[in-house]
Amino acid sequence: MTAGPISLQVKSASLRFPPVLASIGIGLVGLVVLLAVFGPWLEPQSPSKLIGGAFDPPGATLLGTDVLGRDVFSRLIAGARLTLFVTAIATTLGFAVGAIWGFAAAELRGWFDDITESLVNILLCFPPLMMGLLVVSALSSSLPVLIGAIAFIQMPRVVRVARSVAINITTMQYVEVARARGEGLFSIMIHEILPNSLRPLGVEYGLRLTYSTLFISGLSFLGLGIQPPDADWGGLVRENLPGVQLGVYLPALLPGLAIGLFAVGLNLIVDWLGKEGARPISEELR
Amino acid sequence: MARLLMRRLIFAVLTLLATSVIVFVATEILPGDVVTALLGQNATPELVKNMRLELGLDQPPIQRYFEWLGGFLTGDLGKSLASHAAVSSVVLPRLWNTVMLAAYAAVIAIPLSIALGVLSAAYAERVFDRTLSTVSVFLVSIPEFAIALALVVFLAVQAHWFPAVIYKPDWNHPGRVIWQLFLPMLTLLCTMMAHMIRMTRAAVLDVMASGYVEFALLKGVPKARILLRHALPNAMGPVLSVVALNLGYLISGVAVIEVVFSYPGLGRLMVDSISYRDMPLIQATAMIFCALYIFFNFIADIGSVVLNPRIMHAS
Repeated sequence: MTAGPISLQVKSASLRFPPVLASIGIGLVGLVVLLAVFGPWLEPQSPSKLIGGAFDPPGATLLGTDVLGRDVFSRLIAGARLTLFVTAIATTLGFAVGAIWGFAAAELRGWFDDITESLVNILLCFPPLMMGLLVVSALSSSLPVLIGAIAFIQMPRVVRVARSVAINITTMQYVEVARARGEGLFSIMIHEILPNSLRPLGVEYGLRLTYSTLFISGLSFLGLGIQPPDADWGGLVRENLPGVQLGVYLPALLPGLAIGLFAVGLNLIVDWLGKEGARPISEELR
Repeated sequence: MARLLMRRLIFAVLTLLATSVIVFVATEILPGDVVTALLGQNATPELVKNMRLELGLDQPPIQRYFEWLGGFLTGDLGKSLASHAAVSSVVLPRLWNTVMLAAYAAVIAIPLSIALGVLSAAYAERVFDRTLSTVSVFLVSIPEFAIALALVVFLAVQAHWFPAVIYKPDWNHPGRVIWQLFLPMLTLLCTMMAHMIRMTRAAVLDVMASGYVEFALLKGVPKARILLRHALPNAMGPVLSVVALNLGYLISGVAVIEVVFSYPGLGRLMVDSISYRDMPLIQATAMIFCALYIFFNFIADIGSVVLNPRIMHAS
């Protein structure tokens, strides 16, 4: 490769050690990822094994037992794994399709871009939660459907961001040079657009991860997401709700707190990544 | 200007039509046979046939779609499969409950968010602003149901200040309802205010960076006056758009909160209808939610045009 694209991004200032809040964010997200990855070795019990009575207090086990007498701590770790799995796959899928689509629209322009814009506008007009509920009620609450639905709901938002970022890049001279050199659409997307849009796309990816986490948790809390006996964090809150009336709060509150801390961690990282001139973080949180 | 508004209006109507197709397809064609779901596995072929005739399922889907749409436009939403009651008589009281809860939250959240947004723009990057923005990050990250649950645990179950469940809001006694709905309202405040505060702050700061504000500053106009007389009115367009978007979110996002508090609103009705596979009710609730969402999006859209003198006079 001669005369490769000039990298305009990543000033050295942005590579300093992250500030306090961002470090906390990285710590929180890192902790959850570790729990999810090494979960099977960390769980003291099988998350589906009955080890005691309903809502035994902490003591014999670290955090007590849940509504059916299963270990709360083990289920929390298993919940981390499921939550993270669905979130990561769905977001990455929706993001990949959305980014490629947005890049292509920016580079090709013309009718393809027009159709993309109208389609995205229409798709953004549907209330996400209602669409999720409809899809799940029409098909099923199986993992592929849930992942597909979340990915699909994320996609138009990613297309919009990717397109608007890429449009500024496709007018650059180095892209013109690449075209003149005879690079095709995919080559331009990979060699010119992608390297120069990493930061805004990273910010967007973080936002989408947060969004997916909250979305799958909400669906599962409503009983329409991941089905028992498996449970992600939202499902854990749901199944332990009866405890609240009995004065046993931990089994229901802890998974809720876990979702919150994970999402806070993601948001803190995104905030830090987006500090330099990117759009406001909260712009598309829903 | 008029043309622009007309185009947005046509777009909103088209989106609504597209929504109706999606809702219809999702609830009528995809889930296989509603009749077997209703009658169970052991239904005799005879029964199934009669039921299909009764529900009009023997007609082609396209014809049924237009009949359904026509019924919807004339207010005839069909009958609930589970209770056989007219859908409109089930849906309307629920809609009222949801709208009132949303209105309760909006009346408090909107002025409070705008005030806090202006304040944090006035003290941008100072302690007040930073504290508020950190708190905001936490509030937008915690799911509604977790916030609601925490409030229930601490303020209802332990402190006994507010009810934990609201089976029946007492509309005849406004004072009592305000107390009954306090926790769901508070949950809604937590989830929607952060967004509005941040957008207000951003919009005000945007105006504060403009030339005429700088000129006013140089002229010696007090900062408070600049904020309230120059920055806020000019920032109102984007702020009101965000408010409208949040109202749309409020209406559709309220479902989860209604479930936590067993509140008889439209969102809980939709969730319940999905678990009973009560198709006419799912269709009606989904359409109402989508229509409200699209309506508020539309308002946000034209609001940003109408309230922005530059766009308005451009054409």
